[in-house]
Amino acid sequence: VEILFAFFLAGYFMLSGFDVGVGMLLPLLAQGVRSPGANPTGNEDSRRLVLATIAPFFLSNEVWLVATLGLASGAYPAREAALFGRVTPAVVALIIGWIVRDMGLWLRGRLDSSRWRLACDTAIVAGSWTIAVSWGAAVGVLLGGGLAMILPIVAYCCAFAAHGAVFATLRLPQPPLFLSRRLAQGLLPITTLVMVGLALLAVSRLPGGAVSGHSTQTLLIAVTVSALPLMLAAQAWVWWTFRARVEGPSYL
Amino acid sequence: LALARWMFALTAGTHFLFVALTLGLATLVAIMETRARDPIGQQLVRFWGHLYVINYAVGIVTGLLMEFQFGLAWPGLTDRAGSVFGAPLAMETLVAFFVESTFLGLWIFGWDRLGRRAHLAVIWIVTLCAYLSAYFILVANGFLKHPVGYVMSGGQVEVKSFTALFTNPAALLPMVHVIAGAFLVAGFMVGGVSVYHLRRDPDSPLFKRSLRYGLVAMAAAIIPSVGFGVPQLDYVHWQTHPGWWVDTALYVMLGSWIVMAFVVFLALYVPGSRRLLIYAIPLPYIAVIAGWVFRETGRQPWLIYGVLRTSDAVRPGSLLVPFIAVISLFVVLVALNVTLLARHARRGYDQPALGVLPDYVPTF
Repeated sequence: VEILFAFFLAGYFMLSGFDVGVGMLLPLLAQGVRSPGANPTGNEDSRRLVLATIAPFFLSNEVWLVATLGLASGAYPAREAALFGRVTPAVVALIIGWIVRDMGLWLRGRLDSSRWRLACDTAIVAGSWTIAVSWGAAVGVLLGGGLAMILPIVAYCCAFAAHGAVFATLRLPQPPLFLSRRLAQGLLPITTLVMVGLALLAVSRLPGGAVSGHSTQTLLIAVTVSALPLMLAAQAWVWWTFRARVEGPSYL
Repeated sequence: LALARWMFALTAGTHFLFVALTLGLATLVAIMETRARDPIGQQLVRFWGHLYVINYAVGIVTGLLMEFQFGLAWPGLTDRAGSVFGAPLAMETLVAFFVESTFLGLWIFGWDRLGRRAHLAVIWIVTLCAYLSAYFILVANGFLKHPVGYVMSGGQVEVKSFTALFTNPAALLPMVHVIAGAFLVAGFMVGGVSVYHLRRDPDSPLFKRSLRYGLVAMAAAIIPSVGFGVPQLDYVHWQTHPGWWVDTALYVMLGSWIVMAFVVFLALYVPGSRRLLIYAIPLPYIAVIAGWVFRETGRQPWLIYGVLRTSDAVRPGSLLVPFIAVISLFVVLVALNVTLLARHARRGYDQPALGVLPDYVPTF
């Protein structure tokens, strides 16, 4: 179960790191990106195009975290309860950031007004930063807290942002102003490794706790492992379908 | 305790309202897409698929809050009974929700990239996973009402028989009841919105067809909803712990059912009365929320009936700040959902957002 737990959290950091990072850097990435055929001064359209790089993926990325949480609550009920005591503020901030960002993403295209879209874009950027900061803060608290928390916060924010920038560079029709495609290709394995490393760091700092009954654990492992091929196949299908570079705006 | 209880009641109740529409509408959209062989049929899928996605997106975030709330406010539940209660919840997120959301992304964004058959298969998988989700949640919930297949060891509730846990009648009976309820919610929504459009444009072939879907869904669900409701009354334990609100909720549910049955009957046999359907959209929602209140408060003061008291499961200390934060967030979410659904439902089908990108001009 410990292995599955680390696996899902690493999956979340690796994949959702892309969309959180893109969200954090949204205004920056939109500079210099022109939506084909769109109004050349329309920053709104540029941002929409940047969002199209993550649009088909962010839902199937964040389910990795939901799965991690589900596994945690089934397998380590006591740990979950104990954890919430200490990192409650960070967890609450994470949820709020997550909700605000997702609402911004989902509902951005649903009303036809510039002010609405600006509000949604602000929600996306603020929510994405909140997510990255909350992860840093949560690990910081687990590492001891105090002033030393600043280091993990900065580290997690940088890692998320870099991971997102690399992803957007590879998927946009033209690379953004500050990063070339070739460099991004070289950086991708590095940022991926860093994200997985940060996920494992978070797992390793979790407090121990009573595990649930043996039979529950066995059942959970059996169900998860047998469902895993279907889950991975679904994910692979998504990535295969949307493997091409973004050409135009999407549903969001 | 009061705050934690209100927070849970309000959030879970709201989440359930989103879920009811999601479950019913997903099925209807899947059926519509199966039968969409002409352009009108495809437009119909786009129109309702669009409303379904809005509701799903807002519904997900209410679900996220639910998931966190168990650990945040009710540590006693996971501490004492995590082995039993956590197992179906974990399976829900791992198996059902994970696959459902992954495929839903594929359905929304893959409109022009997948073949017709692949796209159709995807929406059916999404729908089946939604049912699987509902089943796992009801297994967890059924255990609270009618604990089966467990042993107590050292103050901990441990699983003795998974077969008993997963075939709990307190989970299987409400499953059908909830599905029927979801069909009523979706049927009234589809029917009401269709009638609204038909009043302006009586010859719209799209909304004529849409109205038929709504009427069939209502007619199919109205009898099973009460038929599978009555046998569960024993598991709610309301006779042993009566409180005025428990009885009131039961009467509200039954009352709105009678009105719904009447409206469905009229709509089927007296076409002139169909205008009522526009105003009847909230009726199944009222029934669903009343049913939920009846079911969840009937077992109080027990959280797990006869095993764990609600007051022993709550996190000690003040929950005022999270309470205010969560409740205001939910008010905003509900308001957003209602506004957007109403706006997009009213706008008609000439501006479909799913799968079509009218403002995209390729230059490569």
